[in-house]
Amino acid sequence: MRVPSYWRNMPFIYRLSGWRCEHCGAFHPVKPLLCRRCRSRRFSAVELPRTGRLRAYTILRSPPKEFKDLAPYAIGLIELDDGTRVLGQLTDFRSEELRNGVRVEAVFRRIRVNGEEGLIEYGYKFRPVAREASPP
Amino acid sequence: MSSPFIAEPLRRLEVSGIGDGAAAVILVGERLAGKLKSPLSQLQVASATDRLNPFDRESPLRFQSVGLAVSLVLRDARLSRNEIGFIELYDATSIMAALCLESSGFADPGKSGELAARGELDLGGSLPCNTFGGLKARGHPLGATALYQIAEAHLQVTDQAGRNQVDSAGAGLAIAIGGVGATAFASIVKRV
Repeated sequence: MRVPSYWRNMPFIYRLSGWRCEHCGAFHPVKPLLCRRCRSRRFSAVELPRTGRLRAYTILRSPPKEFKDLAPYAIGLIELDDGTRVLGQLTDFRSEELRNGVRVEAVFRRIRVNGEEGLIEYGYKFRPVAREASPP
Repeated sequence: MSSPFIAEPLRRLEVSGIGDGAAAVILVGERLAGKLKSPLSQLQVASATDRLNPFDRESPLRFQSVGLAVSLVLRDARLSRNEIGFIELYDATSIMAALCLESSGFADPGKSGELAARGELDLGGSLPCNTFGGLKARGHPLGATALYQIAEAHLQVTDQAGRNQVDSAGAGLAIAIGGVGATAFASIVKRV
């Protein structure tokens, strides 16, 4: 990712905050001019919930060059508690925990070290919601 | 189905191999067409786009770009779906072939597998698909692939397809996809 686009995306990839269309409710990570679904121009700032459920996943075994060191790694489609769907890498999963429907939470992680521009990118990944420490 | 996973549930043999290849199509106008001795066919092309990321779309299981491009090219060629004798699908992966057929309105959502299992998409079936093997069996030379499809459709409608020839190949449809359905080109190659 290039530096300007990384900076533009920071509020979303660091904090899961973005813009929700006031007319149709579509979520946009970066504030657009027009809503991609209904073309409305009215948005309000929102912070997405950090927990949700894993809806689908895949394990990548021949990843792009900059993710080579991580392979094999999992990517999941997460439905957050407010219904918003986001894609993200999965982390801290044991193989037996990897199944659709499992509860996950967003954590802040290093995503990649970009070769050409030397940028170390951080952002969210999803891990299973605290497995041992269930509150009494 | 026992080859290693590339990205679950897709296995290596469900993903087309990227290779070298070349294809050429010679376009001529109507004035020159009458003077040529080679067999001719008529080409009609339409295109459409969609959002880059499939998960930004209303449904990641439907290529809206393909549906729109196919409808446009059928309208321009004044043909209906049942006048299409064969299809060149864009099977960069096995699932893309299925979504491509369903998004273009030639199969109901989720039903293309059944059509294939019944043999409807075979050479002698009601809608032969990828009669030269498609991206997986013929190969996928990226930019040349879409032209390959048109060249192969031309061979079909001019009865030059040899052992791969389909009966009643009056018109064929070639569908080429960019990204995961971000762009789609639909071409009709018609007998003249």
